[in-house]
Amino acid sequence: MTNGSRHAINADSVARHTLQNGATLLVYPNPASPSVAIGAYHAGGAVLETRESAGLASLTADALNRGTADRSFLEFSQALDHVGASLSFHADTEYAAFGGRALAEDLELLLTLAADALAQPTFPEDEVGRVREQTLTVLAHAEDSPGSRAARRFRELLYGPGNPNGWPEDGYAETVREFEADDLRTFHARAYAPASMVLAVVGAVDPMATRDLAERTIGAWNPQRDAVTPAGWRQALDAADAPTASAEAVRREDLTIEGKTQTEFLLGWMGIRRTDPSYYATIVANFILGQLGLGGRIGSNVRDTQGLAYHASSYVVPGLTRQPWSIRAGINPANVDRAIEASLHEARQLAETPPDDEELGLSKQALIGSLPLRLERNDGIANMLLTMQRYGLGLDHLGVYADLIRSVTADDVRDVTAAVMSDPAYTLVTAGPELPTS
Amino acid sequence: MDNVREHALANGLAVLTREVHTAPIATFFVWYRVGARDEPQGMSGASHWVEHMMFKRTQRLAPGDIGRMVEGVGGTFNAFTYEDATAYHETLPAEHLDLALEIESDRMLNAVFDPDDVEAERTVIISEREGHEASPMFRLMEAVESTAFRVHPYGHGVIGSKADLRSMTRDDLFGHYQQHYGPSNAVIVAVGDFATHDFLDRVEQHFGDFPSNSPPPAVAEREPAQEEARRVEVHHPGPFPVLMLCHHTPERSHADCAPLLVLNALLSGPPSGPFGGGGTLRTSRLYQRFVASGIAASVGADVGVNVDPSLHRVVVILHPGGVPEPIEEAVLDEIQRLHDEAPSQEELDRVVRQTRAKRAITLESVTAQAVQLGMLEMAASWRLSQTLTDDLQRVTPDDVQRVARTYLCESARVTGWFMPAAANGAAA
Repeated sequence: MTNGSRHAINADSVARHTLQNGATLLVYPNPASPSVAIGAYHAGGAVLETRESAGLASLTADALNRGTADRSFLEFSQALDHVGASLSFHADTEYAAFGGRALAEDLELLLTLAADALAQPTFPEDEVGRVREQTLTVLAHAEDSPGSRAARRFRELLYGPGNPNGWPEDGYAETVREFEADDLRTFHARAYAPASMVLAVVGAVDPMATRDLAERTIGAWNPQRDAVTPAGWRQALDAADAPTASAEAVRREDLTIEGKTQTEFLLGWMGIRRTDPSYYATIVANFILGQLGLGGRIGSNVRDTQGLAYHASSYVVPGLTRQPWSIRAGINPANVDRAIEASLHEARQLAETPPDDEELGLSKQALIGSLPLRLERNDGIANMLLTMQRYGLGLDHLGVYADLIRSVTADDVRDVTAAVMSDPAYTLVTAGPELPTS
Repeated sequence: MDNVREHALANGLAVLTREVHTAPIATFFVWYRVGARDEPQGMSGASHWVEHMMFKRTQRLAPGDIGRMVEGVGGTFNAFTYEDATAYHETLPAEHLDLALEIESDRMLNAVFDPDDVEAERTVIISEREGHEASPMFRLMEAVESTAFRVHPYGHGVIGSKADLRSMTRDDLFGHYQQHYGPSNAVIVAVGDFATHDFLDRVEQHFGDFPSNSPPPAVAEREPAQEEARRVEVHHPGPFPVLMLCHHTPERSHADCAPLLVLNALLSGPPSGPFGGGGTLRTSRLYQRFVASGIAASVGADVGVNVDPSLHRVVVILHPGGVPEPIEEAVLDEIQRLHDEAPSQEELDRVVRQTRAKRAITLESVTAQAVQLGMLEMAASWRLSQTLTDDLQRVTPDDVQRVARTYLCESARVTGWFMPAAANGAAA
């Protein structure tokens, strides 16, 4: 099975190995390329922090390379920059992750530096102070940006104050301002552990040599005694899952930001987990509703027919915990209510009436046919391997993906839309200039 | 980038091809030599608006058809407009490459510009502009460009002024389309999994019968040499001060472009992306001076890759409440350092090594390769993509010092500041 791409990515071609410290290694050799991509995810996301320490996971990941037992931040950067390589770390709500690119001959350098940052970061006070200041500037920008401001508030309202999915990954100015180097050290010791890690290596590499290299670098990382276990991480994820119960009424907030001319809105409902069997019907439905062409039915109505917006689309976010299904658009403040009404109309329409064969077939073919494009680059393949592992899809997933999409029926599309969007209690946040009173 | 082949049809349509067989996909671009630089007074934003209209109606296609055709086979599509050109592209499974030829040959001559579609798109484009206005960087860039270019159309920006967007008519736009769209003002760039000979036959079938179009008027405006430093400040509500410190630089075909790229690599990083930029390296001079030291939040620099003389820009984002004067002085100090000291040969060797690696990684996708070929062909010649690393390797430490003194001098300087202000214009 070649998945429509020239790559036969399956359980036979991907070398899988458990390193001595419990980390999982996936290697896919792609000799046609001169480069290599590495990618990994592991425990260390915001699900392991508290509301009072919102942003701590993100700041810890950002500061991992700012000084290690073996290298200063400058030495770490020099090692990468001298050979044109890159390596970056970040934390999401559910997990922490890193990714790197280099010429294939520099794989050892990438893995050595990744292991150095993960296993023995020192979090020097002055460097932590600088990363903290940079984060505060990013947060000030987010407060000033209508799109970011609406997105942040939308999640707060949707998940409520006690759920890590509800607070921004990079935290709040009032929490971030308080973080000291010791907070990062404590979080790292508690939340980072190799047993939860999945590492993918893709490029012009030999699987056996890569396995030896990974053992000597990432495999040599031994966690702190009381670091989180894979079961502990799973528990934290379960605790961060949102209840399915809906709110009693529409929740709407209009945020005013001085000096803006356009309003961004985000309107949505709690959706499903990536592991839910209805996921494939949901992505087909979302493609019809807000993706096909320039924004699907919503884009066609709001942008093409009414000329109200430059962008108007809908989004499904994959996650181990339930994630929103949402509609976003950027609108002149005078037209906000018309655009919201048009978006709701399209959502209700799809929740009531199955799509016709042509629209359904087109959307399914788009989702199936785009697979080779996603697997063109080494980092695309690495991301696909990590996705398959994270959601338990199996390394043969690409062989069955097309059938999973093909099996979605028009009634499935209507039903999954209705299950989420027929709930009258949606959540809506607008952000921009003061809205005209209607 | 090797293995690029150049062809031409009898009607003047140029075709660049590069076979890449590592993945069963192909990308198809049509580049038109029309952008903001070709817009007369009162028509700023016309090229970008025409680009939007090309997704509407042709004699064969209705709005939405292009999306359905391309995405229906798993492909992606889009278009972009900048100062010098407009490009349309489809990336799709190679067996469906003909779809791209059908779409692009159709809209090269057959777009309808229905008056109702034009009116609907007017508000869409004004909405796009209003979305940009949320960004301090956009407001500052507009102010700096209009200060730097008083005569040349590079001064009016790609999206266009709101006044022009409100007043342009359907016939203005259709005239712009008719004047600039046609085979002899276009370049096809195709990269991917196809056989060149067979592909060229299909290009001939789709585009070969089109009549050669008369050349559009040459851009007459030449920006007079700037004789003294200029300065502009934007006071508007926003999160932090931003500095954009620019100097006039020559066109991309100029021999001094290579040493300027090396100079810029020392300041921020090597040219690696398809558009020439490559992000700021943490070991670069500007990152070390401003970000590693903690005195600013972020910094970057780039040099224009344009048909006509353009700008070298240094952009510094300050922390909220940051004080402007010491930051501006520090940027000028870094520029003075380039005047005073030639870089070491070791630094230059590092730039070449970094460029090689970054390009090998960035140009892994067929789309990125086609963007680089097209962009360079629009600005000067696609052949620069083959010679770029060699051109950089030939640059000497003295060359870098010479171009610093020649171009990054006070009389060629345009300094722009975005300063946060309360909504009434008072300092925040």
